[in-house]
Order: sequence, then structure tokens, then C-alpha cells
Amino acid sequence: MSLNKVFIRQFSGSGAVLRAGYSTVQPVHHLVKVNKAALKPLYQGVLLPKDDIKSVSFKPTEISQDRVAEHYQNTLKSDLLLHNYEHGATTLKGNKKRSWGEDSPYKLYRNLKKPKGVSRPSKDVHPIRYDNVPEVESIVIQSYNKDALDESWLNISTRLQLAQITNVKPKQIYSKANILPWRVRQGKPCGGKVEITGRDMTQFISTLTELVLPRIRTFQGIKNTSGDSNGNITFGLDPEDVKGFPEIENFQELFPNLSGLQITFKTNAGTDERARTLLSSLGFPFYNP
Amino acid sequence: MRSAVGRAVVRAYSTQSSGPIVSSTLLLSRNPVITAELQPFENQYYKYQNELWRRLMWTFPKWFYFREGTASEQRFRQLNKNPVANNPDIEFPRGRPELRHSRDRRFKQELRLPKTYKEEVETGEGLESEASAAPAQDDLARKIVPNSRTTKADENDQTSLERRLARTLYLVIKSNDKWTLPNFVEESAEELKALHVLAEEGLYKIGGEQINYFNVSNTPCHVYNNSNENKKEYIIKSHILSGEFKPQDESLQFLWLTKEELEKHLDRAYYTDIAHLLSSV
Repeated sequence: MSLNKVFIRQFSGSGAVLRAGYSTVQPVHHLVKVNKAALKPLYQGVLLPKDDIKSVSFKPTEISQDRVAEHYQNTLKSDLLLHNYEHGATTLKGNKKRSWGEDSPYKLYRNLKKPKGVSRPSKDVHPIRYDNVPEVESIVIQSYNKDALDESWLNISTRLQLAQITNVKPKQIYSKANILPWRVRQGKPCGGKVEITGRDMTQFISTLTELVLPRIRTFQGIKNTSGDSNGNITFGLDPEDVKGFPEIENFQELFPNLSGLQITFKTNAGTDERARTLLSSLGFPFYNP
Repeated sequence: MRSAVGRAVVRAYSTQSSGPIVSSTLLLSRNPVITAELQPFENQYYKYQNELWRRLMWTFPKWFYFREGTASEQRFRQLNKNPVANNPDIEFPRGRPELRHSRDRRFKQELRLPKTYKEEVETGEGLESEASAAPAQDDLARKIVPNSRTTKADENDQTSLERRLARTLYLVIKSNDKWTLPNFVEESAEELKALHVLAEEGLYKIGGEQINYFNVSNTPCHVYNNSNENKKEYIIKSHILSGEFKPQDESLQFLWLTKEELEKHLDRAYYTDIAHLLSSV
């Protein structure tokens, strides 16, 4: 029994003696998480965006003319505005979560009911105006490598391959489910993914449309059925197709274990149809499977 | 549904002769073929940012791309001489070299990567006879030289589609001694045609069928109220993709002009009404 423990009168005599020497009640001031390190004056330079010249890891982004972005701004944007114009168009309401009713006080604060017929609510579709002309916001490139489940060093080559193609450091991805016949275990690293925006994105678009896709013999285009009905369109490339990227083609002996890519174009188009129009204007062909 | 004859009868009796004539005007443009011209300031800005980027760049991982003992590494070493070594016996009045992985960290790293063709540096080392022979045009390893940004048509040919490659060009024709965008009026009142169909048929009629064009939308993008001729001109926007505008009538004059040139050729009131439709690039 420690000497500095204050004796509190209790029903059981041994309670205070056996308890460990700290309070089990969570202190209130720890409920709000504050990253104190980020508040330090020393770290202010770290918090600045990397294209700010005051940042400690400053990296200039506007290093040359951006051909694709200029083409979009000068030519495509006004065309897409006109092309998507519909006379008297109104906002199409999505399928939203429903109220349980107001006839009982028990229903007032109940969590909303699922939308009718589907499991998740869908978004509203707004008419295209000058301020929401469809554009590609970012591209997510994911590479799942099932061989990396057994040979974990393959994760490094997969991410290196992504970094080489996109010029951005990829993130590690982990498997989400336990599927024993495929040897998939939850939490196992199994590839990489990277989200590119800005110049890296436009560079990637022009590399794809001008160098990689035209050289794939079996490539017919992106399937018309592709898309998540919110205007995000995905297609895949085989490991054989990935060899067409000039960054990999010229150093093939450095990348003996290539893995395929899943490329998702994130757009603000709202519907797949508009997103397809946008992507085909950027030079991606589509076909009916 | 009314029959065509019935519609024509209704139209003939209901239309007042004083009402404006509905017509379709074609805004046919040729999109820029090459990158936009940059202002001198923009050029300087990009150059400055590019130099900053090169100065802050990580050292090139030669050990990864050019493995020790390979032929490509040997070629890389031939092209890239090591920087001045940090010799302790020598005084460096402009600061000591700071070498890491054979890069002087005080400066940007200038790399010369092995090419598939012979370079001037190498040709100086006794390879002149090989280099002097011009490479065949179908040789995949030849040096890629970009074409000129200006063409022959830039000199004096305003009817060519190959002029002003960095700009958007618009088709104008001369009618009644005035330069205008091509305008088409429905010939017969019996047959109603959509505006974009009217524009297409009119274009093929005056310019031949050897034009591959893309109609941006069936919806007109603007209406110009021509009060002189009592006309409503609905403007249909399209792009010429390939082919050529060949006037079917010998006397028809046409030009492919940029926005600034249109300002000089078109009527002032007409130009100010449609100026917002034209691209300044």
C-alpha cells in the first residue's frame, strides 16, 4: 500500500487497497483531440501546402505549359456547356432516405428509413450551367497484386511501378476481407493506389490517349456500361498493356513483376452519360460490349 | 398529327408577311492544332519555375536506372562526366564542391541520357562519318524534330485551314459585298427543317460534301436579330474535323479568320453581338 494514497471510507475494506494507483474516469479535457505538435511554431512550415514557396518542402508545380488543361479551358468547356444544355431543365431529385412519419413521438428522432428499392441514397442531378461544367477532378489508379499476398516484397515493386507511371508517391492498400481459398486475409498488404490531380493528371491523360491506348491491339475502348452512375468511370489495363507506358517500356528489366491497373476517372458530371461525353472529348474511345 | 399539306396551309394563313424570317447561321470553327502561343511573361514564369524545380530536384538515382557494369551504364558514364572533386589540397575561392552520388549539391543536376541517335557531343569524337549520313525517315531510332509552328499558309493564304495553327479559325463568306458567317434561309415554307439540318445542308451546298464536321449541339447558342433584313439568325456551333471547304460556286469568296481578324472584316454591330461566342485563343 502506497503511502500517499488518500484513504476513502468504503463499504469494502479492500477496495481502495487493491485498486491501481490511477483514476479510471476519463478526464474531460482529453476528449477533444489536439495535435499539439502541429501547433508548434517550429512546425508551421510543414503545414503549408507544398507548392507554397514558404513551405520547407517546396516543389514548383507550374513548370511548363499544360497542354490538356488549356485545351479543356479554351475549347472543350464551352462546347460541353452547350452540348449538355437542356431547355427548361430542372434538378432531378435523387432517391433519398425517408422519414418514418410524424404521427408518433418515437418516430421523430429515429434514424431515417432506407430509400425505396435501393440500399443507398442517390444524388440529385443538376442541370449543367456555367458553374458546373463537367470536368475531370482527379484520377485514382489502383493496382491490386494478388501475388503480393504471398511474397510481400512485391508490394514495393507494385508501388514503384505506380510511382514511375504517375510521378506521385502511392499509398499501400490492404485487403479488407477474409477469403480463405484465395489466401486473402484481412489487413494484408496487397498492392498500391494513387490519386493524381492537376498537372500529373493531365500528363497521365495525354500519355494514355496518345501513347499507351493506341498501341494496345485488342483495345476497343472503355465499355459503355462502365461507371458508378454518379459520373465516375473506371477501366482496367493488363500487365501486358502497362508495358506501353514509356517510363516502363524503356526500363523493362527493372520491372520484371508488372501488375495491372484499375483507372478511375472522378468527374463532377453527376451522370455517367455526361462523364462519357467528357472523357470522349478528351480522347478516350467508348464501345458497346 | 397534322399532315405536311395541312401544316403548310396553316402556316400560309397564319404567318404574317411582316414577321421575321427564321434562319440558321453556321459558326464553323477549326480548333487549334498546336499549343497556344505564350506571352513573354508566361514564358519567363514557366522558365523560372522550371529552373527552381531543377535546382530543388532530388539527385538522379543512377544506381537504379543504370546498374553497375552494364553497357547502358557505360554509355551513361561517357555522357556524364563527374563534377570537380572536393580536393582538400586545392583552394576553391567560389566555395567547396559538395559531392553526393557524383552530383554537386550546390547546383542543379544536368543529365545527359543515352539516346537512340548520335548526338553532337559524340560526333566530335570521330563518329562524323556515321552521323553525317542523314537517317531514313522510317528509322524509328531517328531524332524526333518537331515541325515548324508556322506554315506556308501563314504568309498570305487566308483561305487555308493550315494557317494560324495555334488559334481557332472561323469560316466567313462574302455575301452582298459583306463578310458574314454563312447564313441559310429555308427555301420553301411547306417543309419545316430543324436549324442544325438547315445549317448542314446549306454548308454542303456551298462548300461541297468533302467536309467532316462535328455539330456541338442541335440547340443554337445565340440568336442575332438582323433588323435590316428582318431576320432572326440562330447560330449553330460546329467544328470542322477534316476535309476542306471547297466553294461550289466559283464566285463565292471565303476566309478562315481568327477573332481579331473577324473584328476587321465583319460589321461592327454584327461583330459586337457575336464576339462572346468567339475564342480568343
